[in-house]
Amino acid sequence: MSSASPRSSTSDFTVEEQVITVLADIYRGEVIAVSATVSGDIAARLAKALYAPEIVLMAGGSMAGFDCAPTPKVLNDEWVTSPTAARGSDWTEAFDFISAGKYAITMGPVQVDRTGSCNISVLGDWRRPKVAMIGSRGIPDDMVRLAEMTFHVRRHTPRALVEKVDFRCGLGFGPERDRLGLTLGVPRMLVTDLGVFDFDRTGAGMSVRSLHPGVTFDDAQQATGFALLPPDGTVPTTRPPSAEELHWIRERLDPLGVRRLDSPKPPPGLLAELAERERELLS
Amino acid sequence: MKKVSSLDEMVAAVPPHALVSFGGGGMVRKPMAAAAALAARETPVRLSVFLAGPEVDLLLGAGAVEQLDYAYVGLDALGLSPNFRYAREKAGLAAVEWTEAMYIAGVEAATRRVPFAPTRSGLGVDLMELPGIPFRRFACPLTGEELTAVPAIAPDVLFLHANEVDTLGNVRITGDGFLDPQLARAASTVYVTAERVVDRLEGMTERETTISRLWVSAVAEVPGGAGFTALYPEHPLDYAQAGEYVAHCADREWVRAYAAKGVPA
Repeated sequence: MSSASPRSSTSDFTVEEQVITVLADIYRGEVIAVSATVSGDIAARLAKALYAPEIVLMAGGSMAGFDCAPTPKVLNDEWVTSPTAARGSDWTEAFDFISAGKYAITMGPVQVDRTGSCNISVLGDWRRPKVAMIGSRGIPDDMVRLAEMTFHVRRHTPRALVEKVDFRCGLGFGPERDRLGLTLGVPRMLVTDLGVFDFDRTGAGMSVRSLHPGVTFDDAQQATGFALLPPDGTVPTTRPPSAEELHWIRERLDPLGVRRLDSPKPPPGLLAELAERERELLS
Repeated sequence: MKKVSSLDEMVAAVPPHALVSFGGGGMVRKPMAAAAALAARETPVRLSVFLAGPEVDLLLGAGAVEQLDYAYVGLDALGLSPNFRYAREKAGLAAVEWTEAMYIAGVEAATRRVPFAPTRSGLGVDLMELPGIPFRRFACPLTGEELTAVPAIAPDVLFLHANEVDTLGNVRITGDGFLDPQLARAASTVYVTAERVVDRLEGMTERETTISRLWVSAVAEVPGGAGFTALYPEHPLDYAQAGEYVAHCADREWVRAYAAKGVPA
């Protein structure tokens, strides 16, 4: 699996930069653009800067700083972004926006299964979990109000891409979705360090939309805990980031390199290093 | 009527087994001084917290939590909550997992003094399949649509930490207000610690959150009362101190000493 790292075959950009440019595609129209992962956050800023000035950014998720400029990513975003906000908002309005379908979200599930169901709550049995994670959060809410859900899994492994999730926070395709008549909250795509994937609308499984440069179908299959749907001809290579996108990511939107937190193997001590550099910046 | 009190008086007035809630969210504007004082008491309470962070970890670590309702528990960039993990994985903590929208609906039911609120959330997800949950699917009496009923969340005591309060109890929050204004209207008793107690709140902007003194029981000046969590614009999250906490908080003796020392030190 280590041979599958795009960085080993391409030296001009990192897998995080690749993922950011893919995720930037989901942020279009008059929606609030948010993300549970750093890459998705930078992707929303990239979309705002280059492709979709109409989207609404928030100050690092703070409701107090609503409709912000695409400022550089830091750990304590509120300090940098809030002064650019058009207005303030609050959590009840946030969920009114969700009820009205006005959010585009990148989620960071711990498990995704072949149907597109996802899990951030627990590993094992909920009643006595092997790992108690963070709870279902807003995923069940997003699933019944937003048109689509996008997933970003930092490290594509058989433990993350599983036959069946241990606990369903969001429901994928298949007979149960059909029985419930649930047409909203469909899994739009999954982006990982290996490629871009999507889900058959009947629940038949997950297919490869594109693979990042240097990754083969076998690499992706070996890193997946279930059989991928067979490719329909040659699998395309994910479009690499453009020079303009790389310039924006590196120089304008993430000069500190916060995106390295989303690396499949972040360097030890990275959070502390970023915090220290940022402390100097903010003081 | 002046409402200036002290943190000690507030904490002493919390009855055992009370349903306690905290404002803020995750690693942001958590009432850490209040949580430490409660943890030092080691009197068991029940907790219901929208987005629980280190304040709940601290109380769990001190063994002072009988039950926990939550829509999230975590330390954001610093990872999972070690004492929540222990309590859920090893100690059989009684817990109810809510979604964020369901939790907000429950608080809004309490603010309106009705027993439940309807939501669309709950369709096709496993938290509705757990035994003993307080949520029910029901048919809307007006349209017949299938909805989820969630019970009102009415905390006995709410603690929140603010940037500023006046002596009468009016509250000013400059960063994200989270669910604090709604929780203040749902709770029976509301205790606010603040960086500053002033005679009059002045120069507020449209981006700030305020809470009327009519919702507030008492205020206390506790500078640094958010501990290592972020409090905009006073201080960002202190990653070094937070990391120190995470490194040691699995040790109950360390947690008790930490709570006894109080926040800020």
